[in-house]
Amino acid sequence: MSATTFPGRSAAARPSTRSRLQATFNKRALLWLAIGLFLFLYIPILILIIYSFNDSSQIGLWAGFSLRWYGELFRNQAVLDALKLSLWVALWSTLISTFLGTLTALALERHNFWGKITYDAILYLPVIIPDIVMALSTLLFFVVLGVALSKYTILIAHVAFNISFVAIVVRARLADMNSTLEEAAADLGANEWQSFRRVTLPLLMPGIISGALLAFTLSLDDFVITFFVAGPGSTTLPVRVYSMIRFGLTPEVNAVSTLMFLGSTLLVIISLVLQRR
Amino acid sequence: MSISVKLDHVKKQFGDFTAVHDLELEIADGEFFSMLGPSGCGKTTTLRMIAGFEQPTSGELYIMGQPVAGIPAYRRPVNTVFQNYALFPHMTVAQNVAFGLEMAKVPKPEIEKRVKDALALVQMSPMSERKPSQLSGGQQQRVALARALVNRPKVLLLDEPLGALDLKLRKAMQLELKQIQSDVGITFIYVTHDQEEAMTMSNRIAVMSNGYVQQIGSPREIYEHPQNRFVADFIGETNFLEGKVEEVNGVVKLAVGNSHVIGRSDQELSLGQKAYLAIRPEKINMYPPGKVTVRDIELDAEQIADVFGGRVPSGPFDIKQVLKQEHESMYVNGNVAEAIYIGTDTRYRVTILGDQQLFVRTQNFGDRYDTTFEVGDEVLLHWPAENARILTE
Repeated sequence: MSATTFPGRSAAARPSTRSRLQATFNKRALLWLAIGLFLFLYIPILILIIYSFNDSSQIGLWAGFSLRWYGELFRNQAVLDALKLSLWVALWSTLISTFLGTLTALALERHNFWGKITYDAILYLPVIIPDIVMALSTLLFFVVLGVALSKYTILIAHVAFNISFVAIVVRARLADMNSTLEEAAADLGANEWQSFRRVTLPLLMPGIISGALLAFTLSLDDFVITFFVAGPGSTTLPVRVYSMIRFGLTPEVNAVSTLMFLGSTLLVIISLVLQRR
Repeated sequence: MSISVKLDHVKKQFGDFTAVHDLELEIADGEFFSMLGPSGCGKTTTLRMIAGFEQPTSGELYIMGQPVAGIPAYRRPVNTVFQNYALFPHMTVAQNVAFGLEMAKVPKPEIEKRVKDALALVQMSPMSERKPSQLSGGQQQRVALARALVNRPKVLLLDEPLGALDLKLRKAMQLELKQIQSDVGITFIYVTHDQEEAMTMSNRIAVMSNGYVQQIGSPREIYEHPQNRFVADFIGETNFLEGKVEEVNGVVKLAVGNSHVIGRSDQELSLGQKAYLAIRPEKINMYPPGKVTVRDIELDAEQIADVFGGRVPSGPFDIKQVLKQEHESMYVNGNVAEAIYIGTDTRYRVTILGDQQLFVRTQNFGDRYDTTFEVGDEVLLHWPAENARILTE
């Protein structure tokens, strides 16, 4: 590669070399842009993580490494209760929305029915409309129906938005799946249920699991909608964190946020790995 | 011979589009039956109706004498080999083959034995623990066949099963399929757009186009006696000369320009009607015009001797003298416009009757005959009436 050894001379001598250099420059510029964006996105999180190990009760002052705040966290009953509720909501909303979302995906991908196109469009709404609108409308819905807010209203709200995400993920998998496989199963004597259980479901499983993990993560991380529809005493972890910072930023908040970040990241990674399979 | 599949006025519509018009078919038990036609001719739709994936819009379908309307695919005594094999990717070869038997609740030991036998039949025994993704196209094809045959269906449906294979493998599989079919004795209904494939394997072929059956017959019948222009054109290569019926008297005379050509016809023709002479390139004889010697031409020495009183002439003689003696045949002068050597034979494009083109194919015999023709050569084309068919549209 003499062209890279003497860039100036070669570039002047041959236009083709110049365009190659231009391409190399573009590639480098793109790389730096990507790195810059990455730093922009993750430096705040990195700072948060670093300061969660800070042995000082003042947030901006570094006083040496310590696991003190993690210890405090696990002695804080309010935080532990919030975590327990968060996990309860996440688990149940995942189970319910995965079941319903998978059925929705099957209906949309494999069957024709009246109003399918409209239904299809509406399904994407919870994904694109702002959380605050979802939150307000869900709250209004409960108020109009006269339903008392509790942990069950949180659960219902979470199921409502999770169905969309699960359905979209499962449907993508289903669209990739050749429908002649189901015909082949029928041809070999399998009725609809046998065909679903022995052929469709096993092939769909990676999609269903990744949809479920996504739902679990979303439920665990949701603040806005939960904040609106939570009943008195029903506090999930993100809502608890919010109320903690109202009394001032403490390193304890950093610690709990770090743990939430790591947990969510892990779930997303598992979900991505499963989707690639 | 009993009938295994019968279609009685079967029609299939998708919205406004009629895929299959009023189809009448009877397929005999143990027959290798092909449905042949270009894409969109209705052959696959017909197969899917037999399998139970589509319901006829009207008409009745019988399998082994039983009407099957309303019987779902999974309860029909037929199995299908799909175009893209449709093997279950999450199961091994053996699990794929066992699937149908498990659905039929066959006892475990018997399943094992039958799977083994089926894999042996298609020579896939060593691959039984592999996943479909670890097999080549040809191997997947064999597994798909075993998976269908293991259920001992009354009828096996094959939807272009060799379409994805390369030419050489396809030819080998054609012979193998035919062999397997005669070994197991099951009715095969085979859908293809490849006429050579259909000719190679079938007992009978239904040539289809635009949702209609154009002709049903043995490969020989369809090739030698095409009933219409579509069949003549679709199966093999055919020359068409358009003209008007001039005389019908056993042999049909067709006026083309200010000359005429002759052929035979199975159809009712009226004088003055527009019709086509259809003749295969290999069914036209081509000779040098004027004086020839015996070594020049591809004719039986005995036949020539007959003309000359029992003696083969040693010197040149007029070719027309020999040809005239043959009953009901014709010859026409032409000019070679193109000559293409393609190994086993040579293909010529010959201009006749002023502006008509005929393709002629002559076999290359090596040095048996001296005659080869070049572009610009004058030639004499000759055919007996039975070599040409007169067809209406």
